[in-house]
Amino acid sequence: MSLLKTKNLCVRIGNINICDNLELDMNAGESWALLGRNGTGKSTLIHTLAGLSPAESGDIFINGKNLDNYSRKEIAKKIGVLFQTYNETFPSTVMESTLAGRHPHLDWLQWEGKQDIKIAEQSLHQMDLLDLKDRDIHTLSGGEMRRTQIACLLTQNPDIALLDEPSNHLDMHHQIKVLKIFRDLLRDKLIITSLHDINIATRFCTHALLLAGDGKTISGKANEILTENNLQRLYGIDLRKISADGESWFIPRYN
Amino acid sequence: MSKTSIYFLLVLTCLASFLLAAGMGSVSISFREILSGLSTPGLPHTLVYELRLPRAMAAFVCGGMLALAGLLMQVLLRNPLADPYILGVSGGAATGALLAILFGLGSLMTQTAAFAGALLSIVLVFVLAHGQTSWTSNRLLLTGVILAAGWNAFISFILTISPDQQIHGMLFWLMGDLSNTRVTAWHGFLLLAITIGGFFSARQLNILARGELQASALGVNTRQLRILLFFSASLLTAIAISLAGSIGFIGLMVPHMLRLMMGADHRALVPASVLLGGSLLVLADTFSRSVLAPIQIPVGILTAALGVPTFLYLLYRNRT
Repeated sequence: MSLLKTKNLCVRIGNINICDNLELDMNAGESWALLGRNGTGKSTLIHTLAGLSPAESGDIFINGKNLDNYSRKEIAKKIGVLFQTYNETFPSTVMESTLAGRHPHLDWLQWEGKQDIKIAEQSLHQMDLLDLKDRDIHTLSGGEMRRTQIACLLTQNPDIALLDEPSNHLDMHHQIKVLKIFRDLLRDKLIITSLHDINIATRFCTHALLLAGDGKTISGKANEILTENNLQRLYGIDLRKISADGESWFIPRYN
Repeated sequence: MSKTSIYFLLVLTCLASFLLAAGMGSVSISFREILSGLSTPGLPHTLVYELRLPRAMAAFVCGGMLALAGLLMQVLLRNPLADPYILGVSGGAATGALLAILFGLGSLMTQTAAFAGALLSIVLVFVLAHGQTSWTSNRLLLTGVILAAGWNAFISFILTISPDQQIHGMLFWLMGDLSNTRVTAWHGFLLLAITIGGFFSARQLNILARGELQASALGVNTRQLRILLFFSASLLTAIAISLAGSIGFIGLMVPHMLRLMMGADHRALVPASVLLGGSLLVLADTFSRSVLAPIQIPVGILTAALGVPTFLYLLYRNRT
């Protein structure tokens, strides 16, 4: 049974037609790149798949069960979201922010215990943040803040991770590190990542979903659909595929 | 300072505020007399048990309600500037109360009119802001602030047309005044119930404070929680304000003072807000009736005089 499946999914926001009758069949172990120009609805589609904003029509199934029949808490155990932006108003420590990821796993009257703190510490360690765990998040740099948000997602440990531009604010070292962690840690999970870097998509993703912006979509295996032709039409620019050392890159031509 | 020692301090402050309230006033009573039980009937006995302690109890309940309402409003609106009055509840209450004073109705009718005005305001804000599909913090905030501005015009109008001899009473009401306030066990029970409810929902509050979308993604039923928050915070405010007028500062300052001292966890913040808000108002009220005795100063002036320096100290202490 597929982990995440959509049937006749239509999503719109304002005048933008994000997808028409989208049929997806996604499985554990797959990593999907979500590509499209600015404003084609990548974030909205991520929110819809997480049940955070309603679809116009169609159905989403998680493990064969309609998403509408899950409670918010059940969804949070299955699906984790890394949002594109966060707007933290009140002070909070890095540890407190990370521990929030345990929320769906705890009962109403239960408090975070030693086990939960251990899980959070492990996530902080993976994000090189253990030394900063008592710092107020408002004193962090943009990249440290992003890693805290990722640590929270790792602590939540969902089956499906929806990542909205995860490498925002990250330096190259942490970009590669974070992408590798997602690839390695979540090997038995399903990852859907909205991206602007095609070369990251070719390197780290097994599948891709291209949003044209007019409701048309292309989805499939990354090596089959990430072609010069498709990408030139998607972004409206001239692109070339360059190969070296057995790897290949897409480079835009400026003229 | 650890959370336990802060709690210890808060309980001490609370006890001290009640002792001061019993001892201070136009007739001062020594602590030895109070502690020896005041078993013999007489003036001190009457003063303490029939006037000062009931008034201190009323101050504690109102202060606790305002501080808790402020804390919950700040989470609901995700805005550190939110206080219990930000959504216009006080404007509705003041309009009701001032109309009652204008028509020469007694203090019980003034209380009732204030409560009715507050409820009207709560329902108006809820219906207007909730009619839309998206019940966003900003829409709620703007609806409340605009309604508050409307109420303010009403209040100014009533003040303009009122005869001079009633203006004094109206100003006292507007600045907050506890001299006629008495609370019943029901008030205390309601405060206790919402405190316990808030304490057990603290993990949800912690997560909602980070953002509505994030909270939904982490499994919080945000719509239900926000409606609960809206109505409990509004109800606490409506009751406190109809009992004691619009006492300022407590609802805004106490939650922030506590956040600066003990962090962001609402498990600690919910009970601590009630304790500190209550004690602060008992202290302020005690000073307001004893500093210039027998003249009574509106308690709102004292909450500001006590609160502003304390708050500024905490704010700048943490900067270094």
